[in-house]
Formats: sequence, structure tokens, C-alpha cells
Amino acid sequence: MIRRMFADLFLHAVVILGFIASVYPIYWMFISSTHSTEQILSGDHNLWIGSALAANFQALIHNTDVNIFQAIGNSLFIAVFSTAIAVVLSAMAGYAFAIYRFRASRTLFIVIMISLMIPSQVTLVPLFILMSHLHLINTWWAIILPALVNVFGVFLMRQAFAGFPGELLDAARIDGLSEGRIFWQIVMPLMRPTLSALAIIAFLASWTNLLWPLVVLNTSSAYTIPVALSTLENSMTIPNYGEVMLAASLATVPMLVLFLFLRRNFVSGIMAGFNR
Amino acid sequence: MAIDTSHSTRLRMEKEFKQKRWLAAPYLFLLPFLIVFTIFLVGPILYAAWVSLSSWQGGALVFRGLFQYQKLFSDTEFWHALLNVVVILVIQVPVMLILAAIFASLLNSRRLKFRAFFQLGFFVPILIDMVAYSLIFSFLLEKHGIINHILGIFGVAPIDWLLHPVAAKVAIMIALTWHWTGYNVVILLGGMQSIPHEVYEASRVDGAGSIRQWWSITIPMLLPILVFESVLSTIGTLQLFVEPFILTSGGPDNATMTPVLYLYQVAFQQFHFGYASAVAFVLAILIGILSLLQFRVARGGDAW
Repeated sequence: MIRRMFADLFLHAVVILGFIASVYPIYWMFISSTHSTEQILSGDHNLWIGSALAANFQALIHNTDVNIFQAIGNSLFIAVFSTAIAVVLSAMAGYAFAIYRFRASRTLFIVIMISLMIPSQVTLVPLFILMSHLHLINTWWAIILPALVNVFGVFLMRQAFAGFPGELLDAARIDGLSEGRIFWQIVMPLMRPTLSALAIIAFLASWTNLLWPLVVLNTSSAYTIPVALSTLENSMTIPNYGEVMLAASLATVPMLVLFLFLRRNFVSGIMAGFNR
Repeated sequence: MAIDTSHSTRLRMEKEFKQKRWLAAPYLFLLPFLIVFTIFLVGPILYAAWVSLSSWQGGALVFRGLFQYQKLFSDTEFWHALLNVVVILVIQVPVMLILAAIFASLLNSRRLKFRAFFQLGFFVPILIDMVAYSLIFSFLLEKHGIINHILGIFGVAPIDWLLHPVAAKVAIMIALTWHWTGYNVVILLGGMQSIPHEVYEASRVDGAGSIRQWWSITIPMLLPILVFESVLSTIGTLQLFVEPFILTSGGPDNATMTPVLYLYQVAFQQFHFGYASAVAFVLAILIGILSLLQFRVARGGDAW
């Protein structure tokens, strides 16, 4: 009995330790956004809300190098737009591969799967050259267009459609529905769980992508969140830690809100991203 | 008999009609994806291959064969960068997965109170942007930061985390472990749910304790997932970029230079596109080998 109590105590102690280690840096980020640099650097590890939030906010608004609010807007637009289209394109392609038999389908699918193995860094240089030729450097399109190709999405959707009941499709065909209407009105609404899982993976990837936007964006008004955050600290002659942490906090809030609303889908999205 | 024939002809005609109608459909469904796939992925990959076999001379690409690759072969800076990520992943990936396996088991325990709440806490690091968390860690790793403070309690003198070659590597490992352990925990928790409860009950009847159960049931059952996670983490670490870019810029003394950071500098600070493409392809080959391995492992495991 006592042994069991000790075991329980130990179990909770270890979990709480891990929990604190997981949450503390984020908590610290939010707390530090309300402190001044001197308070942060003083080394007394203040763990409660400070008084410098307004000052940090002012500093962020008047920062001429980086406009974090615009960056949040840019990131939101890019992520929502590219995710929506990429999910639809992937679903359509996955549907074609799963439901129909057609010439070259196997070859095409193998080509697509091979491209899944090639890391994205390979296309950095050629895409940069392509975007310069198209005069899209410094525009949202430079980021959106390559993000429309979601190869993993095609794979995921094909797997999902493979289990789709064929009788349902045949019934709809007998009722005289066109193939397009069957897809949009019958199949897609039933695929909502997989679609939202894929959307979350795509959204997260877009929201946190640093490398490619860093390459194609060089005016601050076009920056996405990761680019804006990465330039913020470098642009300061005297680093303002509170201001940096406030910007990081603001960049994190949309993700946390999204998570609160779509918690279940997040977990299934992560599992889907993993079970490839 | 006559009716039968006409019926079967009708069926055949219907079938043919349906097939005709279907003929165009798959291509129409595929077309939009194939267009962007060709322009923004296949085309660029092929062009990158061509660029890596050439060099820019007077504004034009000139075919140079394997020249860039030969140069790369004797480029100590690239191999140093590759060695850095190999050192990081050889240490960090096992540590992270062991931590993930332990915490996933604890978080799955029925004796744990507020289970959902604790699980949520482990999930949170996944939600934060990589630049944001790297910035946080650059502050936490300060001379007077919390990490040195905690070490101070155990009598360790303050460490200049980002200014010392070995410490900087460890700092990146700490940051990576913080960010990704929860992700692996979530996946392991999912896998644990699929272990049938009877297995545990049967072993308890046979007199196995919790630790024995963990070692001879839980871990073997999760092994396919753990192998899979280790391959994914290895691929991810080979592509390491954001953390060293923000925390150390590859320093001190190139101790945290990574292949992708090197590629970024070669391509977009020195504008050696041909050479950068060769770097990208060597990286792609390494990752391709690992991906193949991953697919084979996935096919071997029967957890899915």
C-alpha cells in the first residue's frame, strides 16, 4: 500500500517536471513580453506579469524595420489561401488515383511518390530563378504558388478515398449525377475529417516556414511572421528583449486559438502526417 | 433466353456508356494538380539537376559535367557541416525518443490524475513557430538565463552556451528536444491506445510487474513507431536550419554550421547557384536513402 503511494507520488512528480519543462518557455515568453529588458536581464527570474507591456507595445508599433502586425496579416492570408487551394487540388488528385482506372495512373503515381522523397531545399535555387523571371519576388505569390503543390496531401487523400464505398458512387451515377457533382456534393462532405487534418498540416507548414520566404521576401511590408521575427532582433542596435518576446507572443496566439478550436483535428492531423 | 440476351446487351451498353463518361473524369480531376506539380516541383527539380551540372559564365549556363560535385567532394566546410548534424542527431534523437517513450507511458497511466491536462501541456511546444521558440531559447540560454540558474543550483558554473563550440551544439540539442519530444509523445500515445488491454491483464496474471510489462510489452509493441520516429527525426535533423540560423548563425567557429544553412549562404549570400544545387542534391541523395529505408520499415511493421 505504501509502496503504491510512493509509486504514484513518483509518477506525478516526474510528469509535473516534464510538464513544467514543456510549458515554461512559452509561459516565460508571454511573461517577458510584459517586462523591460533590464528586468529580463536582472537574473531574478520574475515569474509574474510585469509593467512594461504598454511600453513594449509602443516600441513594436513604432519599429520602422519590422511591422509585426502586417506580418501576421500577411502570414494569415498566405496560409489560409494556399492551404485552401492545396487541399482541394490534393483531394481531386487523390480521388482520381483512388477511384478511377486510367492509362498511366500507376506511372504517374510513382513519379509523384518519388518527388515526395526529394527534400524541398533542392528547389530553392530553381524556384528563385523562376520567381525572378515571373517578377514575383517580394510578392505573396512567390510563397503561395509553390505551396499549392502538396504531394503528401495527394498520398493522404488517395489512402482516404481508397476506403470510400463504391456503391455510394454507383448509386449517385444511376441517379444521373455527373462525376464532378458526385465529387463535390457527395464525396467531399464525407471526407471532412481527413480534409481538416490535411488542412492543419498544410497551415502549420505555411505558418512556420522560414527558409523560402526569407529567400524571396526582402521588403519588410511583405514579410511573413517567421521572417519578421528573425529580422526583428538583428535590426536592433540595443536589443529590446521585451519587445522581441511580445512579437513572438503575438505570432503564437493565432496558432493557440486555432488549436483550442480544432484540438481533435490537430491530433489526428499530426497522426496523419506521421502515418505515411 | 431472348430476354436474357437483350438484358445483358443493355447492361453492356450501359457499362460502355458509363466508362466513356468516366474516360475524361480522372484526367480532369488530376489536371489542376498536375499543372502546379509540373511547374513548381518537377520542372524546378530537373532544372536544379541541370544547374548543378553547370556553372554560370557571363550570364549563361555552361555545362561543366560533375565539376561542382568534384569541388564539393573536397570542400571541408560542407563535410564539417554534415558532420555537425550527424553528431547532433546521433545524440539528440535517441535521448529525445527515450524521453518520449518514458513520458508517453507515464501520461498513459491510469493512475495519473488530470491526464488530459498534462497531455495538453506536452502538446503545446508543437504549436509554436520555430523562429519564436529559437528566440525564446536564445534568452533562456543567456549567461543569467534560467538554464544556467538551474545548473547553478547543482553547483555548475555559468556556461556561455552560444559562444563555446561544444556548448553551442548541446544548446541546439536542448532546443530541438524541447520542441519535438511532445510531438513524439503524441504519436506514441496514439500507438499505445491500440495495444489490446488483455495483453496486460494476461501478463499480470502471470505475475509481471509494471516495469517488466513496460519493457516486454509496451516497448516491443511500440518498436515500429519508434523506428519510424527515429528515421523521421534523422531526416529532419539533416535538414536543420532555423535553430542554428537564429541561435548561432552556424558559429562559433562553424560548430553549428549545417548543410542547409551552408546551402543558404552559398546560394543567397554568395550567389553560387550551381554549387548550391550540387549541395542540395548530395543532401537529397542522403535523405532519399533514408526515406527508402523508412518505407521499407513501414512495410515491415504491421502496426498500420
